[in-house]
Amino acid sequence: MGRMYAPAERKQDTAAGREPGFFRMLFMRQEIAILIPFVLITLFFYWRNAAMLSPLSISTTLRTMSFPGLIGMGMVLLMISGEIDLSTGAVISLTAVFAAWLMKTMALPVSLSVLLALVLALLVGLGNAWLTVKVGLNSIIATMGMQFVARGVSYSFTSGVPIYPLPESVAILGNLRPLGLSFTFFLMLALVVVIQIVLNQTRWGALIYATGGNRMAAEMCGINTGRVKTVCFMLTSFFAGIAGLLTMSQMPIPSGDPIFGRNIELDIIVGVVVGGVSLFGGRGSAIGTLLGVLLMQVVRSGLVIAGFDAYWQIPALGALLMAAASVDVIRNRSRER
Amino acid sequence: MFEQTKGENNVAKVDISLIGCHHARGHHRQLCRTGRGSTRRRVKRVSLGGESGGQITGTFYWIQNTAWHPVHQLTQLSFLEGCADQGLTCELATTDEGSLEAFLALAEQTVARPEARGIAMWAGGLPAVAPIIEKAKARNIPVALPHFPVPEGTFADNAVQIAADTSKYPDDIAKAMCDRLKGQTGSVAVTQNGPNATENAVAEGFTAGMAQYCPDIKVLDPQMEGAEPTKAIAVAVSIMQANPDIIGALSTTGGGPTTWAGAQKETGKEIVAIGMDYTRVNLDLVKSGQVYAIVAQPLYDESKGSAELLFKMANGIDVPYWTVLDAPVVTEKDTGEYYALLDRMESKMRPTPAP
Repeated sequence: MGRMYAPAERKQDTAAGREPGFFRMLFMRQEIAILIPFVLITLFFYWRNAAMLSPLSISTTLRTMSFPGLIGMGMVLLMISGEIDLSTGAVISLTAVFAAWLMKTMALPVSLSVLLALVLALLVGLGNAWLTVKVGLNSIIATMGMQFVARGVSYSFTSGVPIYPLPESVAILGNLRPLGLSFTFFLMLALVVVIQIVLNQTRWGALIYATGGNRMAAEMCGINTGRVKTVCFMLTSFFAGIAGLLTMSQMPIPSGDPIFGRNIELDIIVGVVVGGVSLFGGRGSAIGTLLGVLLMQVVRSGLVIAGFDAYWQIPALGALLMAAASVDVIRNRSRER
Repeated sequence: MFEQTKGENNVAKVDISLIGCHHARGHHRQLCRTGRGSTRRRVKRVSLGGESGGQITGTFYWIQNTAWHPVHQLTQLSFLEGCADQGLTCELATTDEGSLEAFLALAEQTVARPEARGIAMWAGGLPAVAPIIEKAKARNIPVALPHFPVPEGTFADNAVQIAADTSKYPDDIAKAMCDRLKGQTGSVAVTQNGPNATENAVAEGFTAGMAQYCPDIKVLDPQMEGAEPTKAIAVAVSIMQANPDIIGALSTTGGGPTTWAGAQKETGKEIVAIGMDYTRVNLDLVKSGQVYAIVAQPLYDESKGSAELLFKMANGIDVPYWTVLDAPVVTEKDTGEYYALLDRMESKMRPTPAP
């Protein structure tokens, strides 16, 4: 199980001379805390409709959560470092249509098109970082602006019409079903492991926690927080770019469609926050994010499977976000005390 | 964006007795059929005096938001074709923004233009446009409202509408679905992009039709699939999981064919899926057999027809309040004419950036 908060924060608790009780410890460890509602909610939906836990349901839920989970692995780094990215949905669209355009209009090989599209995603991340770190814009504003730019470019590339047909090889990864799941799911799983190790075991992880936990203190310690944030921004966009290409690959007719990723950034952020990543920065884990995104998908699918009125889905997700954000604030206060 | 087409104003064209009926082939058939039939059911003669006997001066506008959208681009081009046919000077008054506020601001500005002589608004049947239609009336400007039918009396009497009848064509969809599912039992899903009057009406009409034509098949309550394809497919897959007896699905939105084709691919289960709109992707899904049919909402005819209605009203000719159009169910064998229409129109859409 991954750590909920950085070593420095753990020291703060012990330094305050408090030995947290069992329930308090549960509450403070988001990965564990999230498992309780996760199990209860799943059982509730199962009680409403046994199809909730059918093998097909489970595999589909895991496949569906792969895309927000994949991008969430970048977002968790970024949010721990104290920033946020609202342009990920637009980057999904941009990389897909750009790659499709390169393949179809420019007749470039698939591999080169994919490579260039990912470079474009990295450049978008670099742009976000430049606006935030160098220019000094709030990352919400900077990435919201980038969202409009990227989405607009997607539409102008395509005239609003999906770009297709694409070479048959584009569909290979999207059609893979290892163990009945998807390539995207296993890629996401691999990233969860890597990111968790990076956060827990490497100097880079410590730098990210330090940057988000207290930027000024980190800078006084000689940490180049701008560089840390830049890397996090670029990774987030890069993962969003990969998600865009994989979305393109798994469509019934593989295409570069500018509508890909529309509003998905909000789902990702909700999942990451539900997974225990602090909105204040400095706290969170890859495993928590995985669980948060999974919980989101279970709620989404469960409401449909359990036969709830369609109008309840959005309020339910909103309620989850509010609950998770409230827990974050309460934990923050508790930590400060 | 303002795009203009100019033609010679020609009042002699008022002799056209029924909109579009000089074209009796292909998609134009929709207009002709209804011109002789259902159009006359709801006749309210609307006339604005006009310039009969003289040349029409001024500009006719097509007001629309989310202008980039391929379906909207198709309607814009169709309107301009209608203008060219009638010899009207027309402009597109459009914005790429999708908000209601942007649309209303654009409509206000357009109605205030001194040269405005008529407007067609892609207004969604929203009451918010009522004051704008009133302002247009005060300036003796006729208004055509395509696609979103609203009851007569909702707006001032200078406005007429041209659209498929959402209380009728869902019945045709139900018939097509029942014919295809003949002898089977199980459930049929309904998904919408979101809750709105048009999609709600289609869902309700379809459910009623299914109850009438194949009462042994259960129609599930509508679910919202949204616009983003991966999320939409996930919703459809959840519906299929929750209802193992599912044998069919109707989506009331243009993304629906991709949604249900994707869900079938995910689950490996084949169902009879019907979606909306003759976009190229949707036609390809029908042609490849991944989707049984699409409902061809009369996008071309209602947009082109809007220009013709404006022409008539500007010339003082009576027109009905509602010009009712067909929205036929298009299966694989009928896709040819829609491909031909797209071939012609897509070439005029905003160009993809050149290398």
